[in-house]
Amino acid sequence: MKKWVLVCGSVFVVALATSPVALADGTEEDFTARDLVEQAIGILQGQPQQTELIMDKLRGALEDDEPEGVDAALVARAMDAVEAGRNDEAIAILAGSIGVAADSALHQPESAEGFKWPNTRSDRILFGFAAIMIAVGGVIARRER
Amino acid sequence: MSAASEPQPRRSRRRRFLDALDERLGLRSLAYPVPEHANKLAYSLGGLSLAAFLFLLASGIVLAQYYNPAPGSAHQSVRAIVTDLDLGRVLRGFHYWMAMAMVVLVGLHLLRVLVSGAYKRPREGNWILGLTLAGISAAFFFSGTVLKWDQEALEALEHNIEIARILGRFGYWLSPAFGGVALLHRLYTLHVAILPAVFLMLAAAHLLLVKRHGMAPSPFRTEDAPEPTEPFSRHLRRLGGFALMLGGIVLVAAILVPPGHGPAPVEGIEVTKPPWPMLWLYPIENWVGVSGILWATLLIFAALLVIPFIDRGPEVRPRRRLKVLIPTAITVVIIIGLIVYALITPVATHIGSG
Repeated sequence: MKKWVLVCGSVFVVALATSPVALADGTEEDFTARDLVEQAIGILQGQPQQTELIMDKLRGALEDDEPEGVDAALVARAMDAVEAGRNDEAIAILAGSIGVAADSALHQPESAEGFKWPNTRSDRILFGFAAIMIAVGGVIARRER
Repeated sequence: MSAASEPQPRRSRRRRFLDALDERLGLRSLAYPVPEHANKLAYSLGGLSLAAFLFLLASGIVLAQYYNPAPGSAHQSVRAIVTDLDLGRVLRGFHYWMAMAMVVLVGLHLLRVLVSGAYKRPREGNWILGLTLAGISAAFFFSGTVLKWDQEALEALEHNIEIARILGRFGYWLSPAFGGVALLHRLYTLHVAILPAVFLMLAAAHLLLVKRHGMAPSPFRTEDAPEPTEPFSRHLRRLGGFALMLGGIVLVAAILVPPGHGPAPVEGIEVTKPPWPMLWLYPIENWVGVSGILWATLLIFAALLVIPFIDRGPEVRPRRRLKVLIPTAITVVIIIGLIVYALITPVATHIGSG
């Protein structure tokens, strides 16, 4: 048994060590100006405190040789908003700079879902149904002494 | 009048119905004796994991009617389930929280088997089957995380692609270069077809082996006299009760704490952290790089795999098996510590850094 484990383990390690890593995927992407603006929006939504990174992305977008589909004037305005800490405004401007509505689902996260008391009829019915499931389950599961 | 000619008492309608079912389904054969300790909650965790899977299967089938796995439409289809579909938010929340519950139940079941020494001869094969099922559960969790196709999902997929690079030819299926069909679509096929089929087959084998070997003895029993037994049907009844409670608790969670759905994914940035079951790998990735995820996971599974072959004696009492249980406890504490540490550290960029 130990011999088989050693043999199989050795074969695995050798195969892994000699595999051409580039088989999986090897190409590096070049990001367009539009990509960089979308990345800046993504960082503003996910990690708004990374101001330097956001500004790097936007400078990269402005410096792009072929900024198709990007309104450079709006990007510059958005940079001012980012520097002033007006992140929501910056997102709206940047969305406009690439022709996407700021309130489109593509660029707006679902509102952060914290605790939500059941306030619709269907939610309350389901809540009651869940309570019944728990109660009935408890009765069924009780141990007979 | 003799006994043979005395009229038989008339059976109630309920009794006749149950007798008819038993004749056709053999239900009374489920009343075989099992040790009394099998009816404790700790010995129902495996069954509860299976119940969680069945709940996920049912809710997943409904979700699949509204989900579009094409990369250009996946995010919008999830958003539509949450915002436009009647009870869609609760349905998705149920699936999400039941997945979390299954991760916890599988982990607790594994720990219970480990602590009680139920992997020992002749149950080594079933231990390996169980580990494989745990691995499949992890694959379910990962692929399900990707399918929602928001920023967190894309970053999870990008880590997957980096690990595929490290694996070379072993990771070719996981790379975008395979086949010509989008990786998201292939992960969808994995999540809704391949993994459920393999899981069910292996779960059936796992349960059959439990039946074959019988319940492992309790490691805490000190009496010499044989342990009292109870019918297995009583274990099933309690398990059914626990499963109902599980369903009810998860439904409450789905209503009160619905999961969010992030923005549409943007390539080239890392602004999220993984969900909590994978969060312990985040600091390792910070220190070692993406390859740390692969090696840490393989190390844990390899260590678990060899336990029955290291701890081979017949002793099952935990106090006499400290050489296995102490490292296990240390590992669990380290994993919890890594999760807490990951929660407080800032988001870092890993893709492209090794």
